[in-house]
Amino acid sequence: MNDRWRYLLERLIQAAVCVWGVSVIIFCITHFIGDPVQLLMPAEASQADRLAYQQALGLDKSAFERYIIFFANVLQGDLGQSYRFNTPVLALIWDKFPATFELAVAAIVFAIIVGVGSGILCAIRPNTWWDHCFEWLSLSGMAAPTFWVGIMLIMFFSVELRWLPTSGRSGLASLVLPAITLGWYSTAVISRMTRSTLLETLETDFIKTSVLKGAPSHIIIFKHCLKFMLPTLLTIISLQFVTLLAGAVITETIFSWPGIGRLLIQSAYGGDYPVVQGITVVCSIIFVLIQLAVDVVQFFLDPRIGHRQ
Amino acid sequence: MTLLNLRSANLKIQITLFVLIVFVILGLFGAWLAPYDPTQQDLSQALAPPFWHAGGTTAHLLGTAPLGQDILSGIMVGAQVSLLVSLCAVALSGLFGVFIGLVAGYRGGWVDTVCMRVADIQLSIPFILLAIVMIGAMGPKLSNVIFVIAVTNWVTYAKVVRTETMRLRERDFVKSARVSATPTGLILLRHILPNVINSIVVIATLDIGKVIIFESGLSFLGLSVQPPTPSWGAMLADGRKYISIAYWPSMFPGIAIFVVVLCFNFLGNFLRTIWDPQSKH
Repeated sequence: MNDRWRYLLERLIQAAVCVWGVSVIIFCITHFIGDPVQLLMPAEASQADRLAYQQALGLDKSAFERYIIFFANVLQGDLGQSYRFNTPVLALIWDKFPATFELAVAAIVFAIIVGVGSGILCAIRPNTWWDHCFEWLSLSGMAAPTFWVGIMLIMFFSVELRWLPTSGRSGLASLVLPAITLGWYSTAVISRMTRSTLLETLETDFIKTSVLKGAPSHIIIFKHCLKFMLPTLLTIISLQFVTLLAGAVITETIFSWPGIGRLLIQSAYGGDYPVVQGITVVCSIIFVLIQLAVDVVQFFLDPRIGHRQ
Repeated sequence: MTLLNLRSANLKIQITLFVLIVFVILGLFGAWLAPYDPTQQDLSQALAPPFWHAGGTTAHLLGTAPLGQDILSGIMVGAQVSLLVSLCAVALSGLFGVFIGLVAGYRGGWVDTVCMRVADIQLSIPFILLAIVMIGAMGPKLSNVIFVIAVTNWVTYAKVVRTETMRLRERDFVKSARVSATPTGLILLRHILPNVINSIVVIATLDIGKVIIFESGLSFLGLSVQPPTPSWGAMLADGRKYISIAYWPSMFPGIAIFVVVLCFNFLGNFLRTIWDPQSKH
């Protein structure tokens, strides 16, 4: 038991270290690679404003002191002020987050249904034309860039067939194409992983035993195998979900989806660097927390985790 | 692998290699081979369709872009950016990652812990966000794009090489090299590196495809090379505004990316199957 709790504690510390490390990296980028006054002030700011800001940033102080100020601000949720909108960055992010979250959830649901489904179909009939067909499909899924898939989908379903809207966020119909675009890559990954994990699971002794005992195949696949595969699938899916949140940058740009990704790109174009920096910090922290949450859930679901051999 | 499988695999790999050689030739000499200057605008020819459509001519085989630039020439010359960025970024991140992996895996202890924690931190910032932040700070130049991709991409190499090095460290031939007072650097280069080089080549091949997609994504967002230098992602972004009237400006650059990436993935998978027969699944 001791080992297990120590594992959990180590995992928590690791997450904390990650959050801290992210703040260091972002600080270094803005303060050493770039020129913070130039990046964090609007281009049309006056010389006096610049000097005042330099003072406020504490550029006369040592790098270490400056970092402490930055980190303390991040911990208090103060990520600076957007100069295009003149509001705190955090408020802006909160405002746009639901749209991105909705899109990412829709995409992952699509990816899970199609990916896990096709993966199972391939694994129970390996090396059939069906299996090869899906192998090609998922290889293509991994090679086709998101933005191209999105544009092709718009061309076909919106321009040619006029079934679905090309852009914007208005109801369920407008969610379909962005979700498929965003989930495309993950679907391919999940499908491949489900296939190979299920093939491995079918080779285990406990599954062979239930086959020999004459259990019906749907019970074997859906009850025994899926339950056994769940931890692996959960890890893959959570990793994919995390990449989806980031991948939303491109998808939102194509479909003019009013989420964080589009805000990020518009801020990058508009030179609104505090927003760019803030979104990166917040998203990275969300990433770390999601992965931590998945590990904690797994820890309580799977009693084997944390025992050292 | 049965003989039949081997034959069909052979055909597939021949086509793959052919496509990749064409890609490399275009990347090196595309500017000379292209029928037109891809930056040259000709508004009288704007959005001319590909030759198999009514109104298309063989003068512009794949049609023209919104400002009348020849798309085929754009794709041929644009290969240069993809080739340059992917090779340089993969080489840089590979070298760095392999070095970190060798040292961390061989030394173990606190060196290993520090390296792996840094890798974790690196992984917790999503690539595209890190790229946007860094390019926002440094400006969208080709060298910066290579740097950004290299910086964000070393972790895979480091992790794989570290795991293999830890395994090799305990093998007898490494131990005997150690007791005969071979310098650590020599052990790493002579005895460990040759045993991990296959895995590195496989990862690097698959990585090139990934980096081409990254770069074209950044070009698509306008964060990579700036016009007039043609790049596949930027051509796509340009053509996107006209999809309601013309599909070719956004279709063909995408197909170019797709085919090249697919071929690098095939090559990587092929190398993996011949070098490591156990990892067929």
